[in-house]
Amino acid sequence: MDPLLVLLSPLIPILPFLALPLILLFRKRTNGGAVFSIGANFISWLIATALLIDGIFGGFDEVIEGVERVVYTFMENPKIEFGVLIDPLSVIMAFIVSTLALLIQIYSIGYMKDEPGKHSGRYFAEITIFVGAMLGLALSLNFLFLFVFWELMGLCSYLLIGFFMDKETEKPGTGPASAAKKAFLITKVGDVLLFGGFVLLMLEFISAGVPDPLNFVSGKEAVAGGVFAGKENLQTLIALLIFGGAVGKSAQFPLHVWLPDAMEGPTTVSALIHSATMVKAGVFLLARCFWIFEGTNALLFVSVIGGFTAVFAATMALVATDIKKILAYSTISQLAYMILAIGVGGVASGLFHLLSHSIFKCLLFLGAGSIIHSYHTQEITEIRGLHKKMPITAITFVIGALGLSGIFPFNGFFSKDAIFASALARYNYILDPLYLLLFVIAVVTAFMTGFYIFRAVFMIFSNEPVEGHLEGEHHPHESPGVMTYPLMILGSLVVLMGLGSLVGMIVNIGFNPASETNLHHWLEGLVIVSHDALDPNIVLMLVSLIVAGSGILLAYLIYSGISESQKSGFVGKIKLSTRSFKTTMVTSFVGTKIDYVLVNRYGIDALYRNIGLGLNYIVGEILYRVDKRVLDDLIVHNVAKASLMFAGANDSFDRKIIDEFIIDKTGRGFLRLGELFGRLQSGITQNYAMGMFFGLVLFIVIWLFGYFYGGF
Amino acid sequence: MTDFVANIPLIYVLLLSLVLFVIGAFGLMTKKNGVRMLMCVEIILTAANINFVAFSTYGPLNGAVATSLGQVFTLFSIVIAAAEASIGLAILLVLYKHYKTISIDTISELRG
Repeated sequence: MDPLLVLLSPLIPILPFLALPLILLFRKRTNGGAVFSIGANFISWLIATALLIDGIFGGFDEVIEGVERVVYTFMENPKIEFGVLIDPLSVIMAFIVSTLALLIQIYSIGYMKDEPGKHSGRYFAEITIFVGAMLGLALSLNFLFLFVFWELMGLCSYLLIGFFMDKETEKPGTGPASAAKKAFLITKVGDVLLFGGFVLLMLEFISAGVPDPLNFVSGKEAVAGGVFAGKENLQTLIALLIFGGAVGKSAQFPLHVWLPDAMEGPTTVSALIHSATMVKAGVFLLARCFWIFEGTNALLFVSVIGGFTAVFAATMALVATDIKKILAYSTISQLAYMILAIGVGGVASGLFHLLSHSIFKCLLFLGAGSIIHSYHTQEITEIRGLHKKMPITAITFVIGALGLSGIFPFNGFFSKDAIFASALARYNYILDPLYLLLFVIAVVTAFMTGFYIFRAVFMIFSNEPVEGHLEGEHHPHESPGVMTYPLMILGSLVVLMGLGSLVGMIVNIGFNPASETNLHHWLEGLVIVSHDALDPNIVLMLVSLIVAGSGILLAYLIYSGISESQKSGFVGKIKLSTRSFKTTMVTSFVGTKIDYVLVNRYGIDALYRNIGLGLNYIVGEILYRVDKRVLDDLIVHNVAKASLMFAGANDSFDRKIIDEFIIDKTGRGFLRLGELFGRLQSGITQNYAMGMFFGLVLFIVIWLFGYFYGGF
Repeated sequence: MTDFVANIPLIYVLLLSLVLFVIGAFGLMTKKNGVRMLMCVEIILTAANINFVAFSTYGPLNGAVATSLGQVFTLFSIVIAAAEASIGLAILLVLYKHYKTISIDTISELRG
C-alpha cells in the first residue's frame, strides 16, 4: 500500500464537505457553484481510483487485511475515532460512488440549466454533501460514523427529493414536498431499527470487554472469537435490527413505498439515489456487517425478503407508464436481488450486481433525464420515435436496458448469473426447497425485468401516433454534449465491465479456476462465505439468457410498431395474434382485477396512508375524549363552578360586609360627626376669641398644675 | 441700662405686659368692629413683645446670664405684626367692599 495514498485517503469523504462553504460563498459568481462541487468530486475520484489500482496491483494482501487510517481520536475508552478503513469493499464502493457521482454532476450542468433555483447554489450544495456522505459511509471504519453519514444521506435525500418544493400538484399529497417527507419518514423507521441494533451490539461488546466496540475490524474478530457463543438469539436479533435499517434505506418490502415517490426530485437526483448513493447504502451495510449475520437464522429472513421484493416490485413495473417509475420499481427489484444474494451467503455476487446495477441504472436514469429534458413528458405512451430524434440517447438507453435485463455480453448478465448461481449453490448445499423457490423467483423476475424495460424501450421507439397529440407538436432534439458524453462514458462502462467479466470468466474456466485476481475472490477475502458459488455454470447462463431473452421477445411482439413490410409476413401475424391475446387477457375479469391491483401498487401505499389516517383518527378521538371528559367536564367545568361559587361568596361579602357594614357605616358616622362639629361653628367671632382665651387659660392651668405637682 | 434694671424690678414690667394683654383680650372679646379687633390683636402682640424684652434684659428667673436674643425676637415679632396688620386690613377692605359693613357679626355665612 502506498503510504501517500493511505495518508490522502481521508480526503475522499472530506473534500466534498469542504466544497460546501465555497459553493455557498461564491454561488453567484460561479453559476450555482458547479465548479467546486465537480472539482472536489474529481479530486476524490482521482484518489479513489488510485486506491483501487494500488489495492489490486500493489498492496493486495494489505488491503484484504484492511488498512485503518485514523484521523482523529475523540475518546479512548470506549474508543471513538474518525478515520477510513481501506479494504476491498470500501475501495470498490468509493471508486464506483465517486465515478458515478462525477458523471452525474457533469450531466447536471446541462440538465439543471433551465431549472428554477439553480443559481441559489442549493442544488450543487446538496448534491456535494450527498456524495460526501456516501463516500464517508463507504470508507468509515466504525459504526458511529457509518450511522452519522447514513443519517446525513437521509437528510440530503429529503432535501433533494423535495428540490422542486414549490411545484403545484393536482392531488394534494403527491407533490415533491410530500414525497420528500414520505422518503424521510419511511427510511427513518429503518434508521430507528438500525440504531437499536448498533446500540445492542455495542453494549454486548462492551460487556464482553472488546477494546474497540464500534470498530468493524475488531468487531469482526470479536464475533469470530465467539462473543456470541451461547447467545445466538441475541445475535439474530441484532442482525435483524441492522437488516431493518437496510430494508428502509434500500427500499425493500414493506418499506419500499418511498422510492417510487422519490421520482418527484430532479432526474439527476434520482440517478444519484438509485445508482451511487442512498439505496446502495443498505446493501453496503449488509455486506459490511455480514459477520453479524453469518450463521444466524436472520439470513433466511433476509433472503426471503429479497426474493419476495424482487418479484413484487417487478410486477408493479409491468404496468407503470411513467418512465421514471418503471426505473424506480426496477431498482427495488434489482436491490432485492442483491439482498437475496447476500441472504443466501453470496456477498460477492450481491456486490458484483451492485456494481453493475449502479452503472446501468445510472445510465438508464440519465438517459431518461435526457428524454424528459427534450420531450417534456415522462409518460412512455407519449414519447415516440426516440431513435430518430435523439440517436445517442437512444443507443445508450438500449445498452442500459440490455444491461438491466441481463443479456450477454453486458455487465448485468454476469452479475445476475452470479446471483442465480449463489441461490442454486445454497440449495445444493443445504437442500432446503425454500432456496429452490427463491431461485425460481429470481429467474421469473429476470423474465419480468426483460419484459418491462423493453416494453418501455419499444414503446418510446415506435412511430405510432399518440392519441390526442398532433404530429410535430414537439420538436425533440438531441441533448447537449455535457449530457451525452456522460451517457456515452456510462454506456461504454456497461460494455467494458461485461467484456472484463467475460475475459475474467474465460481465464477462470480455462486456466486458473481459483485465480485470486478475480473480483469476487478479492471480495470473498473480506467476508467469510461458507461456500463458493461463483464458478461459472454454462447451463445456468443459458437458462438466464433464454429467460431474459424471452421477456424481451414478448415485449417486442406486444409493444413494437408493425411496419408495412411486416404486416403481411409471419412476424406481423405473430405480433397481431400476441396482441389480441394480450388484449383478451387484460380486458378479462381477472385481468382487469390484477391490473387494478398492480396500478394501485398492491394498495400498500393506501394501506400506510390509511394506517396513518387511522392512527391520526384514533389519537384525535382519544385526545378529543380526554379533552371533553377530563379537561372540559372534570377540570374546566368544575373550576368554573368553583369560581362561580367563590365569586358569589365574594360578591355577598363585598355587599354585606364591606359595602354596608364598613363603607356605609363609616360614611354615616363621619356625616354625624360633621354635623356635631358643625354646630360649634356659631359664626360669632367673639365666641371664637373666648374659646381661644379659655383654651389658653386651660393650658396655663394644666401647666401650672404639672409644674407644682407633676415635677415637669 | 443697668440703672434701669436696678431701679425698676421685673415684676412691674411683667404687670405692664399683663395689663396690656388683658386690655387686648377684653377688646377682642367685646368689640364687633373688625378694625378694633385688629387693634386689640396688636395690643396683645405688644404685651408679648414687652415680655420678650423684659426677660431678655433681666435674664431668666433662675439668674442665668442675660442675652439679647429676646430683643432680636421682638424685632421679628414687630415685622410679622406689621405684615399681619396689613393683611388683616386688606381682608377688612375686601369685606367692606363686599358687604358694605365691617361689623363681623353680620358676616356669618359658614355658621354650622
